[in-house]
Amino acid sequence: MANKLRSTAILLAMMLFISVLSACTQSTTGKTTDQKTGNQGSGASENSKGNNQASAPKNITLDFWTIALSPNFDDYINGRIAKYEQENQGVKIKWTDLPFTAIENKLLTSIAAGKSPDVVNLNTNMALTLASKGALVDLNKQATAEQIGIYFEEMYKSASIQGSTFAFPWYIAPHVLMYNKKIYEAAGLDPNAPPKTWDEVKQHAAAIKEKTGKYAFIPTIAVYADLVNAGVPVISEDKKKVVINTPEALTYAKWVKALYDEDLVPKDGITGGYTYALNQFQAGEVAMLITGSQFLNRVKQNAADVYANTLIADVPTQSSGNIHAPLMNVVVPAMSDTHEEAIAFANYITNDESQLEFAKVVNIFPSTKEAAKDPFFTESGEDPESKAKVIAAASLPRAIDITFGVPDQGELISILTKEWEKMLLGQQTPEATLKNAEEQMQKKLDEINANY
Amino acid sequence: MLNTRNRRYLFAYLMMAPGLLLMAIFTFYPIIYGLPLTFTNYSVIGETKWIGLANFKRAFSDPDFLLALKNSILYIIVVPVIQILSICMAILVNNNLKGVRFFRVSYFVPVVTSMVAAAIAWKWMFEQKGIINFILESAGITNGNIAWLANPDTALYAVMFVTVWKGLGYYMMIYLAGLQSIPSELQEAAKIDGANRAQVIRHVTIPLLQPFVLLCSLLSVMSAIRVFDEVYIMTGGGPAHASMVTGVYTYVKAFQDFDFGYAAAIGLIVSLIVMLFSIILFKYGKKGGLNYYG
Repeated sequence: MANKLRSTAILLAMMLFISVLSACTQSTTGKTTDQKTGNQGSGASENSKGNNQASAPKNITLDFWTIALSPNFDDYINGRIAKYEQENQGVKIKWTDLPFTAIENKLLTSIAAGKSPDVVNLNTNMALTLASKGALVDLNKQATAEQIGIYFEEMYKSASIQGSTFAFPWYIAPHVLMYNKKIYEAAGLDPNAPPKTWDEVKQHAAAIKEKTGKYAFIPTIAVYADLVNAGVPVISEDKKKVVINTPEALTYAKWVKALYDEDLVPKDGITGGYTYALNQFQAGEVAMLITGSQFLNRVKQNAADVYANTLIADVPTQSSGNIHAPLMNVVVPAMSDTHEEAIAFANYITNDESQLEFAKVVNIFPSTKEAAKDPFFTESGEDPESKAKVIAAASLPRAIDITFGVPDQGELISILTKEWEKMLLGQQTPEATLKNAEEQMQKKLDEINANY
Repeated sequence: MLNTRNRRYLFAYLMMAPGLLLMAIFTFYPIIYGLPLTFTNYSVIGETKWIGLANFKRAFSDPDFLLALKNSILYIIVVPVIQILSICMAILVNNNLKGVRFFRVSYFVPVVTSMVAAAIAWKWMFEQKGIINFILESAGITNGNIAWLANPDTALYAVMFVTVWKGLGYYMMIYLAGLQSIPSELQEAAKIDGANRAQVIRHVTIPLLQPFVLLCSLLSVMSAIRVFDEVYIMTGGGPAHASMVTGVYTYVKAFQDFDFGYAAAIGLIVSLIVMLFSIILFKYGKKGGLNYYG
């Protein structure tokens, strides 16, 4: 009996192992992915199912995922959903809100489990990462010209790889300069004369450090965006060559390194990330914060005293004159079984009416041409938020969501960030940093291009 | 008809069945599933191809992984620190001193505190203008603000400090249980024979605690090599990968780059290293206790 039980246990273990191997073999051979278009075999067949459903009486539930919009914007999102459901009988929207750090993994595991949401809010980097794996619908092929035509062309092109576009742009938040009047006065600087160039930023930083002992600002961690704004191509137009080791890049690298070497910015900023910069500004420990104007709301809630002393100005620009403006997008996963309806809803939640209403709730800006023309964006009040609104709206024509337009761009950014950090820590010279970063990024880009 | 012995076997298997079933689903199946993945370019979505040993070759020529592996092995230096300190603390709180319960609870508080909350709090404390620098400067020990977590020479050690702080209470409780299981006659006999307090600890208490030392060392070696939470929250593996450990690197490869095949291979390599350390610990650490293992 004991032997029989042992044999049974061994047999079960073997069956389990064989089932795993067969599952792996299936996944090796079973999926037919068209990586260039982003359509998986299963997705394409489901798509035809979706098209068939469009002509039949509708009884569809679309899963809609967003990033960190609940509970602050529950009323707005629920209101838009209710209106859409009223106008599109038979279509129900099931809204799920997820934290920024969770949505990508959640989407991935959901797709892996064979149950994908239909419409998902992602930033451009996340959208490009998933698009490069063939997980998103190519809107150039499946959306109508009318749907595509409502957006600013440059913003629509943000999430594009090799002629395919994988996202409708949603809201954008051009950076503005927020600065603390109290610290400026304590440093003997004129609060009505904020820095207009990066050289002036450095001069102010030195004065603030000397007079108050506080730091003026914390450089951003988006090195790639800073380099692009400094006139460095980073990636060539044909997406085959990394171009980082340029005189413009060297000038910028030396400028940033000098800030650290002269102790004009906190070293904690290297690992602290954006949250650290925001917390330091809210605590009244740094004089300036460069970020999207929507974050003023957090300063207002968390640090009323700092908010009351916050002044707003244009972001000091580099040689390109561009302003980095991270964009939020809405995508349709290829595995959604109702592409047509999903695209229609994605287009609706990002259309002129929806975006304008959203912009009136929070300090963000529309990616659609008509909504951006609304007089609301030129009406200024006295509070920092409404001043930021007008300044940011005026900078929209110079606002760019800086992306490389290549698959797995996150890996390229990681290499650049690591080499940049080594330079800031004094482990290598700016010259060596640019050379190493360019070589390593080129190697990775070649791998990416070979595999895509 | 089953005889008594086989009925016992059957009963034992039936009792174990629910637990085994859960382990099969949540432990054995993922482990077995992960093995073939190490030989593929699996990325959850997209086409999966069998690539043989390519992931392993890549791992041993990947400078970032090798640095992470080096840091993970370096992390083992927390093990003797935790063990020695927790044994000392256990001996201290094993006495019937006034207020000893307060200390037992105090030392255990970090154990029940969420690592995420603790790591965030320590991150604040390690900031340039944080309380650590304030104390050190006030005491005249340092001059100027040290960026503990942004300095490649200190980042990993600052995180190790938090690991030690968080783990002490846990191991102290195990050692306390061990101390209380030692028959007091043995220590009394040693005292009658003229041994002083230090000699009793050295020649009686510590040898009798040896099985607990083995258990705790094994647990903390495994935890040290697999460390993730505190590193991810406090430094994210930075600056410039100076505090990158295999746990964080595996996470980055799997969940940021979606390179699950490679991440599985890294996970397997780390598991084998943990296994190797465990074998070494068992080989050289299984003496002592009330009954020798032989």
